[in-house]
Amino acid sequence: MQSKTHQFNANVSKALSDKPLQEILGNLSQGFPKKRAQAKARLPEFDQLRQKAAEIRAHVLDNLDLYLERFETRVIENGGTVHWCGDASDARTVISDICHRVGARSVIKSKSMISEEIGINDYLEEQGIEAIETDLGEYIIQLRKEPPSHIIAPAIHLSMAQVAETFRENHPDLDKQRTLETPRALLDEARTRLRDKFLGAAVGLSGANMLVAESGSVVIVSNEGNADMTCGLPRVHIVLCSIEKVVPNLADAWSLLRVLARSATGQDQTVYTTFITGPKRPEDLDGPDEFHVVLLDNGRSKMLGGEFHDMLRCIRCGACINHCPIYSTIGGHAYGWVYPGPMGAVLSPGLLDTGTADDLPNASTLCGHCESVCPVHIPLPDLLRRWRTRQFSDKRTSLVQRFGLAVWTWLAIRPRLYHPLSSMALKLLGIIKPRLRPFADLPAPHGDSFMSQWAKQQSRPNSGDRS
Amino acid sequence: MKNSIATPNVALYVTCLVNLSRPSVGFAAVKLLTEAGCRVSIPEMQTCCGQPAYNSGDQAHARDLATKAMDELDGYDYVVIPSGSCGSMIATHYPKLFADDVDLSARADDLAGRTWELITFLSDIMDVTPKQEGYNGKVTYHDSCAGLRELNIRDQPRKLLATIDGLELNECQMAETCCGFGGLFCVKYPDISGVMVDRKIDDLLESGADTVIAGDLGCLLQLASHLAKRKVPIKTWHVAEILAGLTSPDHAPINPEEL
Amino acid sequence: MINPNREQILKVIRRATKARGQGNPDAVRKRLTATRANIVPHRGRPDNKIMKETFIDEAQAAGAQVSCLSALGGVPVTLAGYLQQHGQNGLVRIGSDPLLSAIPWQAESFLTVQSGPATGTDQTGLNLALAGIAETGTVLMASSPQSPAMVNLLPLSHIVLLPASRLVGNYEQTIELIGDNMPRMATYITGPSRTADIEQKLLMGAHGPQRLFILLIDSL
Repeated sequence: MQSKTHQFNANVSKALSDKPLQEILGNLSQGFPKKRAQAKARLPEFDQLRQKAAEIRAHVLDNLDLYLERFETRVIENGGTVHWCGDASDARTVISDICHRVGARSVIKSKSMISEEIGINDYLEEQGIEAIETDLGEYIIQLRKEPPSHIIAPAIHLSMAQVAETFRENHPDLDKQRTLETPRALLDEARTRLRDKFLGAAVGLSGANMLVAESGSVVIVSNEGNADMTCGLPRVHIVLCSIEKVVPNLADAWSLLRVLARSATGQDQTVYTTFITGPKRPEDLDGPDEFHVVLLDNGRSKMLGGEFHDMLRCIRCGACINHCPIYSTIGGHAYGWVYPGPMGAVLSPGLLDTGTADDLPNASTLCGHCESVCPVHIPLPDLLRRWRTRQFSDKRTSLVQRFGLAVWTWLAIRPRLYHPLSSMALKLLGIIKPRLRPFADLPAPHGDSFMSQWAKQQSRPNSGDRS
Repeated sequence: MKNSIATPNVALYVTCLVNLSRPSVGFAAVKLLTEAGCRVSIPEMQTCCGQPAYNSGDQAHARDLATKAMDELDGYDYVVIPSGSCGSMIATHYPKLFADDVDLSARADDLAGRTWELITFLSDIMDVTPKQEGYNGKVTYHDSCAGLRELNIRDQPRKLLATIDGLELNECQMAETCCGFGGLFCVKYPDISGVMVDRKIDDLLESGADTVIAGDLGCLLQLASHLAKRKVPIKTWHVAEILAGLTSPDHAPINPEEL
Repeated sequence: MINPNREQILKVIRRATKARGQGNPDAVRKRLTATRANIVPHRGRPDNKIMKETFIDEAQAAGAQVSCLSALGGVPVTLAGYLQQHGQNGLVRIGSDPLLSAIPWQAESFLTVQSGPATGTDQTGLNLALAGIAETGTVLMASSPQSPAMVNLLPLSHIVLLPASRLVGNYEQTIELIGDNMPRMATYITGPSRTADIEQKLLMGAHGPQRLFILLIDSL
């Protein structure tokens, strides 16, 4: 996917002036955050489980090579194939080679952010292979030729009317008089439309929520059931997954699954939580003949042990996005790439070209809501600050800001200069303030600084001691 | 955790915003601390804790200012700050800032352990309920982010406010949502910040409150200036001013005087 | 053949791991051989007396319908009633587990059962669950030649036969149950298929079944 992170300010202006979008964003807090709070309230052990989840993820990152090797061994024993890919281009080649080899003309897909990261849809289309998104939200935005605006609810930025319009445009063979005024009608149309695609595709391409080293299983969760159909109907199943997603064993997987859905949608459990272990077995009536796991690095191994190491704990629940006041003001597209919100603001600058995503870590009040809901305790505000530190030391922070901070610090470490100067400045501001438009709405200073007023009070006779 | 020193020596670190734009919060803090039985000092060399530099990624300047603060705040039993944000800078972030510094990390930890936000200090450490003169109004409390999530300030101000005669405390839905101030954030991204605070104001209006109280002047200035811009007559006060009873008719709320 | 990508990725990982003084093969081996449950919430450890009740409550909360039958003999009439109530035809795609064949299907003339893989037009699919998990009212469907996976996914109504003796408290207990026989597809199903992708409005029956009907058989 083409990155537009470098035009952050333009993206923001566009989002802020988009009235329908603003209305949708304004209502976000009534959805996922409320449901998460209810799910948390229903499970007294929730915070304990979060702690455990964080520990499991940290342990994996401490032993990543060992778990990946074990996972690979088990996949091969189970009759599958593992493809190691260093970057997006490697992964695209591996996937398209498989598609060509089996003569696939279409590929059905279940939602995978990694697949957005490597831009596989466009790549396959260029080679005459149709890539069909089946998650309802992904299907809608694919028709609209838009990127997802959220990692778990890709079409969250759209209204029902916009979806109806999209379906009318893209399903021209259907009756023009049909009513599409309810979400149900829209869903039914998509379901019918995609059913044939499911049954006709030779290749299913899915993501993975976890890879289990112990058993060589791939864990995929979905509410719609499309992921299971993507894995189970075509002759070939390709799993596209980044390397950090491995977990040690099945019990660890369940520990993470207990916090994943609750953090994401506020469900106690996702409707379909599926462990896939190898291809179709000899007597099976259904299932794919081939099972491929494409393990993608794309910059992750380099994050290991570095300043942004903790980000690799992420399980992609989207809770930080759901609770971010910036996200709910500007929406996902403003972030300009695959991953929006706080997790995106930490991840994108590390995965994209240096300097192209500099705005993302800065466009945050560091309010900490993200960290407070993260199921694996990623210190997101600290990580955002680390990007700022890196930008500052690389002199990518604006000259105005650097100069301003230097002057401010120079003054502030000289209190004998700072205090009288600030006192004078305040008096001056009291006189000229009303004429300065940007400050006109700011409350008027009291005329003198606290330190100056206090000093005067203390120097008056009989003012008593300070206690 | 409760204080066991008979008359603790407390340094009041007023913060830049209080010093420059709302001195009455400083005087309210002095009053509250004195009444709570503390011997209050105002270290006269105090300026800025370094948070703007720290949050801008300017570690060197942040350390310069933090080192200066550590020097002038030495020797007090407690350091008290009428702000969750600056309080957390010292209590939470100084130790991180000096984590790799063999010479200073112990001093940063020591200062962090002695530093408290004003309301938490009164409530949790001094265990006092300030006596006050009452406040007539429908009040809602805005949780400032650093105070809420880094210092766990949530119940303490509400508990103290609830004791005030005439004060009716109602929660607004977005009490825990950021107001969009964010220090330099509101200067660098004024448009995003503006929408954020507008949503907050819509929520305040929905709550029916006539007064919004917070423990951080940054949030209050942000709210006050946008309330004024929209000509919404909701008064803004720092929680210390309310608790100290510094709300008499001759002392105006933070809002610009036109309202 | 040595895959250069593989070696390169592992090399970078190992270098980072070593620099941090991490990497503990013994701990990893232990974790891979002696799988033990981590934290199991209280809700996942119900007393045997309330196991069934907890399962039913949770399954219903997730949007499933549950009927308790004393024995297999009651399945045809209950199922026929259910399908008629929802205006569906009597064709039922079933797995070929001997337990399912033991059901007296001929007792209900409305029903026609057919085993084999599911097709895109099947309205009803019925399979035997390997377990029911009280913690979240989840059923575990394990794929096998007798239990084709797509029977659980393609039809409009998914009927699950769950012997009461297969009820467990939590997910971890199903790991023991499965042991070394990891099925190709182990699908843990909690309620019917759904989506909230349009304006966050919750709708049942996205790509998978619109309805999940669990027949809990007490005598089995």
